[in-house]
Amino acid sequence: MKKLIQNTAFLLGILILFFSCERLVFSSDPENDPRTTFQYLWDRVDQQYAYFDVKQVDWDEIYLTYSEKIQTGISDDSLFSYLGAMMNELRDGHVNLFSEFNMSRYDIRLLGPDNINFRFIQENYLETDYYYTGPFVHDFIAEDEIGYIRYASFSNLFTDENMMFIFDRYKDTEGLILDMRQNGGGYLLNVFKFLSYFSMSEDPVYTTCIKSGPGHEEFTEPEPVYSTPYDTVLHYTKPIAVLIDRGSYSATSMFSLATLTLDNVFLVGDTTGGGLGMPNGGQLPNGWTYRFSITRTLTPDGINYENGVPPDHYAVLDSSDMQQGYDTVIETALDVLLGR
Amino acid sequence: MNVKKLLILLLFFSLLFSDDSISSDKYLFSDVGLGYSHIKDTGTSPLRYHGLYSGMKAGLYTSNLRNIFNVEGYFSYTLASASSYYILNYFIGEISFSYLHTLPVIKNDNLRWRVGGTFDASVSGALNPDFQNASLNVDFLADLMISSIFEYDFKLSEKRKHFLFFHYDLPERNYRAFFSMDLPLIIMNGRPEFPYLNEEDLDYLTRHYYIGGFTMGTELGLKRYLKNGNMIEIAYRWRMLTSGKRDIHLLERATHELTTAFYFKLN
Repeated sequence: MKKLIQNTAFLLGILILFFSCERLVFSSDPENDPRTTFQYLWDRVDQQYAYFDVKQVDWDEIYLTYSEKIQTGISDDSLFSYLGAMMNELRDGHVNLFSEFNMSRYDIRLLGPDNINFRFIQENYLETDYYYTGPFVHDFIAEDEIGYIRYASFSNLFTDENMMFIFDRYKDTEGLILDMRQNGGGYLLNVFKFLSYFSMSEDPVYTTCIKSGPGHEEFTEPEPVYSTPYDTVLHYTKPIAVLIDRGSYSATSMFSLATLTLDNVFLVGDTTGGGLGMPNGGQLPNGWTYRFSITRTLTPDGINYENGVPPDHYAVLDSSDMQQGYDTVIETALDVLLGR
Repeated sequence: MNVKKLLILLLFFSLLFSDDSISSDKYLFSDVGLGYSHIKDTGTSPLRYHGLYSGMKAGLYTSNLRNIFNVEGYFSYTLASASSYYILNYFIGEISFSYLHTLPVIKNDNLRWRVGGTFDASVSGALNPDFQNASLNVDFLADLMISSIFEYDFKLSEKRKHFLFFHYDLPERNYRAFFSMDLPLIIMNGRPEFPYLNEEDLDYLTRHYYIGGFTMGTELGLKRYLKNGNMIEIAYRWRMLTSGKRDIHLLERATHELTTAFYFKLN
């Protein structure tokens, strides 16, 4: 029995020794103080943010500006305000800082006028018996010559049956209006799915590259992205007007960008909000989280529309048109579609 | 010839000349464990996540006085947190093969030192929905380890016990105490590239592959032989991993686990 106790003590001693290994091998944890948090966030953005070139932001200068404000002992509220303001220098809707008590954001929509009033569209174009099919609101307008389809968010899922019903209903129209004003984005998967009903193209719709190193211009080689046609027969090949504005952001900007390669699709309205990068999240030493874009999306010929995809036909809501019952953006689209 | 090559050669020859002519006890086993784990992946957070760890494994264990062969599958789940409300879900799935040969260096019939190798291949996944496109990460790890185990067989003789007014007899019981340790020879890692990214079309096999890092594990336990030949086991298991300096973002994890296992004798 004495031997057993000796052996057990020996083994326990070894075990304790290897417990200590963990502390010896593992890295130390960061301090939770304002300076460390500031430095960590600045470094992460510096090394991983994808759009310093188009945003034309001198991030080193931003460091100097904000560094002197971050003093040891400042309140969490003040620290959040400074860090949020620093992030907003990037003027990017995909850049946020999150804490238990606040979320910093840069509201791209405010760069342009609010370009849609759905109540107005209901009263003057759709009346009361329009259709809801999945996430789509739609009906005939312009004496049944045009199909109007409103898709308010790429976060809303739809089925093939939804799309087939809509295609069948509007197959004899002269053109379609896809209203994506104030569509703030959603799932990229939905962009390709939606696009697949309108595109027969085998060519890439855009290219994407991912940050590959800490330098501002370190990216992977541009990788072409394709949209696979849903079906070779069931396609709407007549002219399509996509209505956009500054609130058409992220996935909607992606969709707008992809339509640039399609001959029968044109953009009407205001420049989109941009937001073509994939926002990537992470955590700060004090536990708050952040996100910003770490990919770059370009047209197949290399143009970067991160600051917004411009319309082919500029139009914003005009109050005098509205007094006469006209949505200026829809009317501009109808002018082009019907050759008025 | 460096030490690693020498150890690989020793392992190879011990496998080659192992004598399987003596009969072996074969067991089907399964164990469950509960414990504490901490994980730090600097790709998404500089903070160390601490949480509750649960694991289970099952496999085939073959043992005789000369060698041990073990094949097992293992799955674990950790629910961890680093700050007030961000939750990390961490999964590990692993298969493992090990062979250990008794070294004739200890002149005690009850005490054995066995040395051999273990091959592990694992996939681990981290899910933290707050990290947007970095919310899901998958890592691949394959390693070849030098394994060793000390085993000590002992008996507790029959005893008469008293408890209040009750008298009962404890029969003779056979035990095996053991302490095992695994040290790395080669570790192959498949970790994320520079940014973490999990979009719908991302190929998870596109990883930053490299050889490096450090991992080790120890286990201290006690097996009791039952009359019908089966065994039960309780053990304390510790494992740690660091993905090392060649990783783009450092991964560190450790688990401390209390396990209980049942071995069903097949022959």
